[in-house]
Amino acid sequence: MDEEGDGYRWEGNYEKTWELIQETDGGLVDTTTTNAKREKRRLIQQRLSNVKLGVMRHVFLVLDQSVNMEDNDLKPSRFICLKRLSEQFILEFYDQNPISQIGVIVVKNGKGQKISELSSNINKHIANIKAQKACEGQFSLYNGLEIAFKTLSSMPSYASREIVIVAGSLTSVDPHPINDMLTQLAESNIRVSVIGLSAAVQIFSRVSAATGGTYNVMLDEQHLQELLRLQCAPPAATPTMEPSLVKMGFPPHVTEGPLSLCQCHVDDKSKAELTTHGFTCPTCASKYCEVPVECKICSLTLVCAPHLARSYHHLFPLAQFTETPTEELIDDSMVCGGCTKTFGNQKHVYRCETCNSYFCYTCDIFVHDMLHHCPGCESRPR
Amino acid sequence: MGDSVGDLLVLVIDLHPVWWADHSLTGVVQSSLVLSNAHLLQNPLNKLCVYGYMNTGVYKLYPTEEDLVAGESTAGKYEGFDVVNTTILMRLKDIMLECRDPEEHKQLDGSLLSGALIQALCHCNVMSKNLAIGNILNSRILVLKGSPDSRSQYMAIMNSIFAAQKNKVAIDSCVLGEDSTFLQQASEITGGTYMRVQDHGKLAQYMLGVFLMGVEFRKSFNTPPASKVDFRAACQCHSKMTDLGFVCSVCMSVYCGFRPICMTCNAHFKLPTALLKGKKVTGKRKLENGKS
Repeated sequence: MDEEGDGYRWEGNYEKTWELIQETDGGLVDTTTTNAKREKRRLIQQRLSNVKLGVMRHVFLVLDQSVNMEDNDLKPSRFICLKRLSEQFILEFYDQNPISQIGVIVVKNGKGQKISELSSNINKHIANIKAQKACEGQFSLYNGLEIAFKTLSSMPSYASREIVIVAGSLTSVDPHPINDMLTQLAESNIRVSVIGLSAAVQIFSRVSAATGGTYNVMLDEQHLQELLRLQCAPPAATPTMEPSLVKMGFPPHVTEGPLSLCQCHVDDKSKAELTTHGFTCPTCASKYCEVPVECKICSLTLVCAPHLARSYHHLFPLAQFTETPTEELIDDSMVCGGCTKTFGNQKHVYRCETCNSYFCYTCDIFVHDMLHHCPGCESRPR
Repeated sequence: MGDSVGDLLVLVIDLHPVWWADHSLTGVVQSSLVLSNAHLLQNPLNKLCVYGYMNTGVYKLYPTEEDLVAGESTAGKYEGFDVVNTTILMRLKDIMLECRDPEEHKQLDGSLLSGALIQALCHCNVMSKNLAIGNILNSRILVLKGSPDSRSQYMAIMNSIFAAQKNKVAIDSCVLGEDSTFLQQASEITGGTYMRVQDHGKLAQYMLGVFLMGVEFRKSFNTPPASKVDFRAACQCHSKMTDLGFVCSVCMSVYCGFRPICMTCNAHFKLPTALLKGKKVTGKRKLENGKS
């Protein structure tokens, strides 16, 4: 019952889903009319525009590792499936928010355990999540939140602070009343979003409502993946977030020179290697193999210009194209402004309001998902 | 793994009339045709697409809707080459005749590289979507660029680079004029090869030697070394490259010094803590170091 007005599933009419499937000229299944694709389009449309966003994010991913995660409604088991999806989530998250930081907490035996510190080291997070094996004991909402809260409350106020909980349990073993924790979270502007794996739980919906987050219950694996992906887009900024100028270093990439150790692997003797290439911090000249990273010596955030550019599409989203039935097109020989193919037997075309070019379904999705710029507008002199 | 479906090569050629006024376009077009034919010769399933761009628009030179039909009806492969070559030359001639208005072509800027890249990526995307399930089409884009970069396209070009990276489309760059920071970043990020060719007479050799082979084969050969890419940011206030900057937490604008109000989003910044309470900051930094 996620869409308003749709009512419960059992109240709806019998759906003949097979009648929606059509064949293309080549004999492949024409997927443009299936519900899943329409759903995707709708998701894109929901994106906010003209809203101040919290692009620099600090996010704690809290994973339930209680016995309830051993259920096998997700294959092969909930936890193994979740491990795989969280890896995808972390990759997608850093792709969209490269200067943000993630930390990972697991909750088992009623205790929270921080398995990965708040940082931008993708490989470390993924390795740490992969290393988690057995599911034990009970889930504790309070303990999970408390650990995340302790770290997040000391984060700078210009960055958005978030907690994303994925919980398969319907119960929670808490040492203290959760209400105190809720007030603390709300006061520190920490946004808690919960994704449920089994059924809707009142306390989860209360936590997310009180902190301005979202609460969703997954339907199947694909839906869970989609819900996690929704968490990748930066949320709207809270009014208490103070804008600030953050000092950042843009380290030059050194490819030749004397052999030296990098700061990222210097502690780990097995991986420490003498190399000639790397990025050197502009203030203290210590070397790192990868950016973005926070300099260990002078605490300067080191980034590259492309990292900043990756966030631009959230700030300047492309306006939606208007759906028009193909019959209304005046000229039959009209071609798609993206792939320059004729529209053929497609039912709908999509028009950019700025340059009045028409686009086919595939290009419309591609343009809004990946390119974030209209091919028609960009191919015209300004 | 699916069956082999060949490679897709998308050629993007800069046709800016002002730039070509001082250079010979014929040689470059001929070299491009040599590369196109050689690419099609390697594998009968290989696909080709050619775009041209200038300051007034982006043009698809090949394939156009009409000659797709003509190409199918000719049986021999050599006639196939002929279709490619004549279509490209005919289209080029049409475009060149169109752009004779001296008012429109006064300055050497505003080449629509971003539009051309975006359309090329749309083409790659549609081609890979039309395949049978399990088949993967290896696509790459080769940009032949003469005229200089125009800064206003920065965002569009960066976004297309990221889209190319996600779709595993490599962007090769063959720069005929000044070095281009846009294309250096594009090739570095997408795993393509960047090369600057000063002697245009030898262009065909360079193209066949470097850009004919697919990206996966280049590891086994001595391809041009990765150029030194400048990943520094240009500041909003003076457009100067800076290696230590201040970034607005709201809109990600870069400034080379502290300023109270952001030029882009009008955000009002609070004074840096270092100015307000110098000693406490050092204490906090130590604490953070200890944790990390």
